[in-house]
Amino acid sequence: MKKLVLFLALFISSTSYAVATCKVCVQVDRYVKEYEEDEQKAYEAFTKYFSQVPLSKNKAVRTKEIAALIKASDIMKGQDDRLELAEYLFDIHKNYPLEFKESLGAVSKESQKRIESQIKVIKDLREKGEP
Amino acid sequence: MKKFRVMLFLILGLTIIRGSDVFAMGAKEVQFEDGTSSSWRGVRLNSYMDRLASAASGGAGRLVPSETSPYCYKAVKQIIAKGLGKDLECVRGIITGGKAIDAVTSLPQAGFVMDMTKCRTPGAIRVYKGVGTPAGFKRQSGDTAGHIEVVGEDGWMHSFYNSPVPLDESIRPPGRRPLVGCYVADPEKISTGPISKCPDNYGSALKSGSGSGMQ
Repeated sequence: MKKLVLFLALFISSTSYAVATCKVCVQVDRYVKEYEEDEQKAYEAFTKYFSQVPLSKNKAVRTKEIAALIKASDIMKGQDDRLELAEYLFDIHKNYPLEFKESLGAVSKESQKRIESQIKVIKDLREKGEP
Repeated sequence: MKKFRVMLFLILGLTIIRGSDVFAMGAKEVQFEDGTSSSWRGVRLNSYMDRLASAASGGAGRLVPSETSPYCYKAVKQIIAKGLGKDLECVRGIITGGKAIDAVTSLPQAGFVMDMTKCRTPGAIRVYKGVGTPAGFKRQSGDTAGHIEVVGEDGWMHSFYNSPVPLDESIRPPGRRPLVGCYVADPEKISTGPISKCPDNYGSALKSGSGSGMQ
């Protein structure tokens, strides 16, 4: 019993620590704030960051990270003419479908539909080429 | 009477010279706006290039819906159809393939010639190849399909999006999308090639199958 309590305590504390230390979320929030001042500059910085950001191995943290990336991509969609963010979201969707689905609630229903549509288009593009 | 004959001879001579200029029967050195020149036969200030550049800058590559259409090759086919004033479906039947890199084969068949000295000339079509996804980076569709864009009259690069900078100069990391070809319209090949047989569209005055066909 004592061991079980100890295990649970350790598990909960490690999880909450991990959730509390979503470094990606903090960084993404910075880009979102910068976007309010200079859309073009913040978009460029965010896409550069997004193109290489490694996601956490911890599922709970990763879900938070994905939610933050989806939300920021949605905010910056006006600058994403070349659909670079859509490509990276597809990449995440492909590698972490469950967490992606769980995180999609971070944006409005309308944005969810748009993102899902983009993902389908990019999937077809990579598999079949341009129509 | 003698003076009249001389005058008549001079007028006739000038008309012939002027006529050969208009119809450009022989090889003729033509100076373009960007300082480059060409000795193609039949060239009259390469209006094909002007029209492609104008169509590109005018948004002919815009796809609907824009937020879910990352199709650069499709957009460039639209620019070509609009620029040459030809039916889009017909042009798509000549400039074939579903990947940007396919243009390396299909553009020459349609009457475009590779000229790496005119990569920044308005109307030039720039083709890039994909070299795979670099380590540590997320994948992009262009890593295998490549990319294609048209230089507009504004000097910007146009495909399904517009950019002031060519892709090979802006992509991360450098070298991810090398430029493999710059294609320019060869007036003679286009005006006698398969595209000339496409039905006119967009109110073009381009003459199908004609030897000159230039505006």
